[in-house]
Amino acid sequence: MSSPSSNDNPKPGSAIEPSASPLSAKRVLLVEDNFMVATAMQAMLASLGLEVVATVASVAEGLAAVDRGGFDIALLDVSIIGGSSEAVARKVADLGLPVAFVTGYGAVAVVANDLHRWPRLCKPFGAAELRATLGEALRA
Amino acid sequence: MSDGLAMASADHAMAKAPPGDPQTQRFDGLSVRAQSIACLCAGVGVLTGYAALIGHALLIPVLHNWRHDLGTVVPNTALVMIALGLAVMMQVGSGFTGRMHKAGIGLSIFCLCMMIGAMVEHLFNWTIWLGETKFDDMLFGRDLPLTPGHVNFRTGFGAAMTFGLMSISVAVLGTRSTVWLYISTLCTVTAMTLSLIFVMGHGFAVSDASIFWAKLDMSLQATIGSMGVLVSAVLARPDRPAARTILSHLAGGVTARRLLPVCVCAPVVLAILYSLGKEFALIEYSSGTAIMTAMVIVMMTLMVLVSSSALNRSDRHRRAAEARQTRLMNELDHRVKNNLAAVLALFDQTVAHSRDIDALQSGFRERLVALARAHEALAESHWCSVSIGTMIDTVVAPFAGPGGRRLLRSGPTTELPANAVLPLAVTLSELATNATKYGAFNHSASLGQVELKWETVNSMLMLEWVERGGPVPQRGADGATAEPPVTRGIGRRGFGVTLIEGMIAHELGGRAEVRFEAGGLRCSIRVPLSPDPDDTRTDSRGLDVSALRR
Repeated sequence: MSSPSSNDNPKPGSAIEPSASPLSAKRVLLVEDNFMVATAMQAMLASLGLEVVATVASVAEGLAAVDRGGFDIALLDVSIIGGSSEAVARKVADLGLPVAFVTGYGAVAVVANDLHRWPRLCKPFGAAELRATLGEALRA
Repeated sequence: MSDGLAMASADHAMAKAPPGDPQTQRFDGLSVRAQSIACLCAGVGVLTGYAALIGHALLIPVLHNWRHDLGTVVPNTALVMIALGLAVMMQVGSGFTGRMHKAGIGLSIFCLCMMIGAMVEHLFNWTIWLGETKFDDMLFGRDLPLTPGHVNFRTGFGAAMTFGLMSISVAVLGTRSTVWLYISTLCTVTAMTLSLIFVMGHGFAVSDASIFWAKLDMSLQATIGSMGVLVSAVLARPDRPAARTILSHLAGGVTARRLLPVCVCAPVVLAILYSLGKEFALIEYSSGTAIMTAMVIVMMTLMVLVSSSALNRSDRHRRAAEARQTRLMNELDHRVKNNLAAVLALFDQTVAHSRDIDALQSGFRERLVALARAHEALAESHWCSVSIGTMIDTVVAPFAGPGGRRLLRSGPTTELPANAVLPLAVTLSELATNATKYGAFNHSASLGQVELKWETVNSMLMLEWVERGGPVPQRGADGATAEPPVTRGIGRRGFGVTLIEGMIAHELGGRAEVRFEAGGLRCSIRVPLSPDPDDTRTDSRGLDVSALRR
């Protein structure tokens, strides 16, 4: 993922360094059903210094991955195979871990009220936006 | 009933459809039906009139006078009723084209003169040629006995007024002038009101209770005949505002068609019941009035309730349709953004695996075209399913030489569920473009062929792509055999294999395996066609978004 946005970022990145540094070396659970998008997100996360421990596509696989654990933050596409990722998000939140949503839905409320405190990133997005959203999730 | 309103709400969306489309044609169909009903109603008037005339001629009183207190249809009223009914029928024949029917107008004017004459006789107590006895003498050649309860055989003043007004409205049925239209409407409404007053008068038995009412008399039969003619006059011109409202396919028209017959017929039925009740001494004036008033209230309440619930239903349908539209708009937005994200990701990945700008251009273009073709096939099937044959036709066949002859395919007709269409289309496109560049579809491999076999076992689709007769290996400058060309494309770049295997496994829970054999590339794919029950592919709001989500 050598997209321009991640290359241009060192300068502005240094300004937000305090919020960006907690991101490094975090382990991510990625739930995204589109293979291309999942692959691109993996590359993007790697370029941000994060480690992707699991990439799954469905609600059932997501719940199983949460059971296995070993991650620090969950990055969830809202509509995945088997329905909505809300159940996965609740399970992650119950563990006291942060959640960030990714969705193609615009301004529409796509997740239930109890999940509104977690940040939401609208597709399509770049690495800088992904980093900002993950930082927000960690602070939430 | 509910069907009618459901249809009306469906038509709501088409209300602004331009003329000349099925909407207008259906309106015309309804108009033709309206004109048939108009002729039937006019026929009621004509038949009532004929019956009365026959009753007078053959001395069968029941034909012109059902019961003495319900009034007699005198011969000239009967004549006018027949004439007006026929006039409406004539106008129906030419009325819709907006032309006037001369004979119809002539008959109407004749009726108007008769009725004006009758009114003049009443006002000045003259007996002119329209007068009762002379007219009857003329017609039947004898004196007729006076009916009890009636002063004479003269057309009652009320009947003369009603039929006079009706004559005017029937005479101008064919007009296009706005002024005459309003005059006609006014006459129709007034005549209708008078008829109803007489009906209710008979119902309350006041028609012969006073001199005033005796003067304004109109028999119940004449009232029925006049109502028939009036209804037919309204329906005879479906292009007029009142008839347009009634004949509309929208909820209002359906409601009007349901309620108006009740409105018009109920007073007549109630009046007959009331007078029968009195006849058999079941009720008397005060109790009868109370019962009749109560019945009117109950009936109106029921009508209001029925039409309200129908309107609610129609409104619910409309709101549901609006909500669905909003939801679809959101889904469309979602889908566009997801697609943009997928295209962006595809571009990023193609960039990462391309040696140079040319490889990037062709690789990205081919994949995007494959996606677009798969989308097109899905859209044609309304996002339900696409058969493997169609997919091969659109994605693989264009690469397989003239008439697709380098592709040997065999397998049963199989419908791919919507969620499997895009990944399989991308997979087949990767294989086909790779075969074109390095394998069996390459122009240098004149004998190259791809065998594409598939079968379904226990809802598991097994698909085999086997290449044969690809380009012969070339010798390198050092004399050593270079790697087989078939491995150069997918094999060297790695991305094609990653894409195929990753997509099938990640998105479909299947398995794809790409191998390089002596004869050429072989790809085996296993995909479950009925996803596990967990994979309902509906979103949290219950909308089926299986195909929209990508």
